[in-house]
Amino acid sequence: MNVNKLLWTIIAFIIVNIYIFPVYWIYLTAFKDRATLFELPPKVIFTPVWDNFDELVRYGAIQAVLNSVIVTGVSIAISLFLGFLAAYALSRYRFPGKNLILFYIISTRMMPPIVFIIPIYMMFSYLGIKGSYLSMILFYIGLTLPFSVWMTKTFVDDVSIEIDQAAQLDGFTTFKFFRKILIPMIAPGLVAVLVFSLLSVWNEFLMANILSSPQTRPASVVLANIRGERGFNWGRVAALELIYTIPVVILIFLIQKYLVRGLTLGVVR
Amino acid sequence: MGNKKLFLFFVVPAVAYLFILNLFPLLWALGLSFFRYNLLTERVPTFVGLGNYGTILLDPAVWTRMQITGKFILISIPLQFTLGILIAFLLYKELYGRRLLLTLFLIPMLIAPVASALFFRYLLDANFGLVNWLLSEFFNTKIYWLGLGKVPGLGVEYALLTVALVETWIWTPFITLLVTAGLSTIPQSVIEQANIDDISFIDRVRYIVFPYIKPILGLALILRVMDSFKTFDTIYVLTAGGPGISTEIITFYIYKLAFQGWDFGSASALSFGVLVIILYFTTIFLNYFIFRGGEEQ
Repeated sequence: MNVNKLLWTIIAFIIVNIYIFPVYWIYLTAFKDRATLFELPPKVIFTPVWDNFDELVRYGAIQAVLNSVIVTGVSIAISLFLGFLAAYALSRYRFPGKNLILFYIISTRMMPPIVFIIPIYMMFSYLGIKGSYLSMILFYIGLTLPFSVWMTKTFVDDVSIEIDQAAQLDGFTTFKFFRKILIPMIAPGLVAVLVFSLLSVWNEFLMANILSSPQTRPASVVLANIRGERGFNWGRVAALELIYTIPVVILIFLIQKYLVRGLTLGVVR
Repeated sequence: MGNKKLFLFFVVPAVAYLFILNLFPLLWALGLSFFRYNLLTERVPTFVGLGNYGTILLDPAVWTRMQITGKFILISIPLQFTLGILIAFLLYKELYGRRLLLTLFLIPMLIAPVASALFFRYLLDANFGLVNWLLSEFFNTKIYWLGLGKVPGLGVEYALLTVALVETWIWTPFITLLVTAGLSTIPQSVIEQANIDDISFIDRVRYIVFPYIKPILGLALILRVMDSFKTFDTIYVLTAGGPGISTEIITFYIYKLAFQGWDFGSASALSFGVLVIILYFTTIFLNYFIFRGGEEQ
């Protein structure tokens, strides 16, 4: 046991936890009943209750979370599939315009989303799909696709081309090769791509706010507009905050190992 | 599998998709910026050439918003860098469970900005908030964090400071992440030599650490400046641009122009103005990235 190391660990632990205290605080609030909620000094130890979650069900917020799940799930599935195919081709073949495509893909990172809200709003209004799940899904595929192609490509790049050639000699078809060899090999990487794409859709607000209707509103939109006529019902807010953010917290702990690579990608690489 | 037609079939869907839902809308917005088109007053867009751009450049309302954006950037970015670098130094030390601590610390930048903004709306609530309770208990004072009162010494409204602080909370982990990546490029031999020579902390930072993290700090700075122009979600939740116009940074102004004033022509033109500013930083970024950063990996 190294005393110095232990000491610094304790210091770092305290600082990091103070930093993310706002998260703990709202999670705690989610379990307070109405009386405890407004008590000053604030209580840290109390009997937890589920009142706020019941209230949330009455408020209709469960539908919003469900909407988020639907929109995120469908758009990510399509984006990952298209992204994988493109990434494979971009990793393995040389063809005219390839660098241009790669440049274009990385440059979408720089585009301010505000430039897109008007044309997308108008396009989807003309098509008559504004307010539907489809409108959000279509937009989110476009939003995550560049990242999905780019990051998947780096994982395919790590697989030696000799493996492709060996599979070819063994008479594998391309899709059998993907299914049996390549995808299992880069599976952890694909999970990371999945999680990062998922986060950017799950957390998105600006476009969802404009494209959704009261029936298709995702959680981010409900949360951002949760203030009632008489101000905030903090119990309700806290409960929805918890439901909305805890899946994200769990996910990032599950992919800890790939977190740094995924986050610094397109920045450092 | 070496079939060259097959790969074309693989790339085409993704590229076609991006053309339709990325490049095409971009061109649409550019086209729209040459028209006078206010949904409330005219049914058909009228071509005005560069008219919208001229109006914007001469409009004091736009310049006021640019000033607010500038102040916002000047407050939030130095804070993010100072805190981010200090915490990176801390997490760079030999620690038990370092990855776990780093993951915990990254939570703010990975959860939705809308959610983060609400955490602080609760903590900073004038009457029920924990922060004001602490202030009144120990200093017998209260601060209206989302109000128009001026921050002593800074000359900006508390509302703008609060938005900057919340953005700092969200993005400090990003700086820490990048600096940590930079620190990991310092060769072990250099650190050992520094230990043997017993160099002071200040000199260590100046002569050993700084040269190694300088490139990545430059990169982080460019990215953060670019992204600061895009700030929207936290402002929507915390202040909706108010009180008055005190927190209306440029992106929020464009949003209001488009979806409260329904002036699609001017809003498109202004969004292209912002795009040009961001492109300026992008070229710096790409120059750096391709011509200098290339050999670093």
